[in-house]
Amino acid sequence: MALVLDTWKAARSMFKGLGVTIREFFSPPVTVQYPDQQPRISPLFRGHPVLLSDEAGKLKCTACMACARACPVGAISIESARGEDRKMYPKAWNLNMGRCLQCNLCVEACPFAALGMGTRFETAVDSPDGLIYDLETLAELGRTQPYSRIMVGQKLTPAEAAQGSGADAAQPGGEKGAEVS
Amino acid sequence: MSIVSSLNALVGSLPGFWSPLVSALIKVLLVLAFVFGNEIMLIWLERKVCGRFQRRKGPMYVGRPEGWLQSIPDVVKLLAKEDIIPARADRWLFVLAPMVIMVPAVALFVVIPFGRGWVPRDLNIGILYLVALGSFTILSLFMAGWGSGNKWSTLGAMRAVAMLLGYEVPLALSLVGVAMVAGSLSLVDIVHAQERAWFVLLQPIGFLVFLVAAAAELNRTPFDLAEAEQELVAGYQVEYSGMRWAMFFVAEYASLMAISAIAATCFFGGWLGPFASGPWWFLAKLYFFIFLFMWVRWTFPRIRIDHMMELGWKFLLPVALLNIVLTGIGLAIWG
Repeated sequence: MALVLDTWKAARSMFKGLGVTIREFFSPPVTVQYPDQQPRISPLFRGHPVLLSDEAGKLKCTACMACARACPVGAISIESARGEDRKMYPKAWNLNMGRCLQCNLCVEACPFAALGMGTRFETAVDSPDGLIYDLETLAELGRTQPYSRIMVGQKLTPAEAAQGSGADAAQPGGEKGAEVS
Repeated sequence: MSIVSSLNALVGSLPGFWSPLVSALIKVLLVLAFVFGNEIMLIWLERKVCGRFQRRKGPMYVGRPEGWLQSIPDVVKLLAKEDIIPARADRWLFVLAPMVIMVPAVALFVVIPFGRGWVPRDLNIGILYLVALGSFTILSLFMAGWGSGNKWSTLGAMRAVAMLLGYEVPLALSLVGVAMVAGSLSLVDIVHAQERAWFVLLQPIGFLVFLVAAAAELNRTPFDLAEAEQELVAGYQVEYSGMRWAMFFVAEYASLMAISAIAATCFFGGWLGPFASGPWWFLAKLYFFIFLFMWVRWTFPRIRIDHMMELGWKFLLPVALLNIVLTGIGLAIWG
């Protein structure tokens, strides 16, 4: 009798397993054919830092060196200059991507909210020189691509988190990602 | 049908001993073409089915749509690989094993009726022939495992042989029930006996025993103890590379087809269908069983060797015997 019961239980669990797999079989695949299709990148994706501009398209950065000091690997090098309006601005702002840890510390250190973590992820290059990103490149990325500014200990509301994992906001070249800060 | 009969007439008009020779040759070529033609698609199908079960897409790029030509670059790659025979290997056994394994896998199709009158050779001992040849596969697995001179290979071969005893007996006994109801061992007679009801309805217990034992005979997950990648690397295939390895791979799919064909013939009425009976029904059932075995493969994890033996000896064998007793009683009452 116990044998019959065990057999019945085993058979039932087997059919349950088969049911799970056949459900997956008829669900649409989650594969993204990467080079042909672009993956959807969350706006909360933490890439490398990018330079942000104000509405007028002018860089917010004042070359105060806070990010360069905060950087644990010395990936940021800044050359400052004084403009005609007596304000400081970065003459050069280089990011050594070969060193950058994408740790977000520069974004946290920036007192002017002039840095964000970009969503660019295709960082492969064919020579080490290509790993040095200059001011123009980073400023352009900050203008065109979604970015995030999230501080340590910051709690995202479910809505903000959902926006982060959302669909079209993060398409490359699409509209600017929400600044979550 | 008309093609077959005109071909028969043509071959029959040949003089003397040429007639049986040519007819045998044509049948062999047709069976080989059927087996290998389907095989190329099966290897692709397995990867697609496996992918879909894991919500992937499988091969997509070689041959649009859906990468259906993927097997061809696979074969080219395997042909280009270095052929290695280990120094410690028993040369003869090592070289012969991949050739021997192809024989039973293809020879099983001799008695399979593809349609009415479409049978390479209607042996009156059909089921006996199937069971005898089916267990023959183990010989080459053992040759490969022992001949490689590698401990993992030997372990795999030992498992294969130990398993054989566990599943081959219930497999044979489950087919005995079919033969009892049909009153014949010939597969053509068995199909004709299913005109009123498929044997899956008359022999449900026998069918389930057959399915489990057949999955074990195929050496596929959950019964792939003989190759067990995670424990034995690849079991009896460890030392094989390139085309020699591909022979094992091809034979595995040929047996998958053969076993599915046996299941379709013995339990699902072969070429018979609810309407328009013909070879297409056989093909549809064949692919139904192939899909079923793939479904099982990508659902269950491998079972342990002692559990396997327990399943074979303590469960499948008594149940198969019980099925024979019940069939006998049923035949005595209604037969």
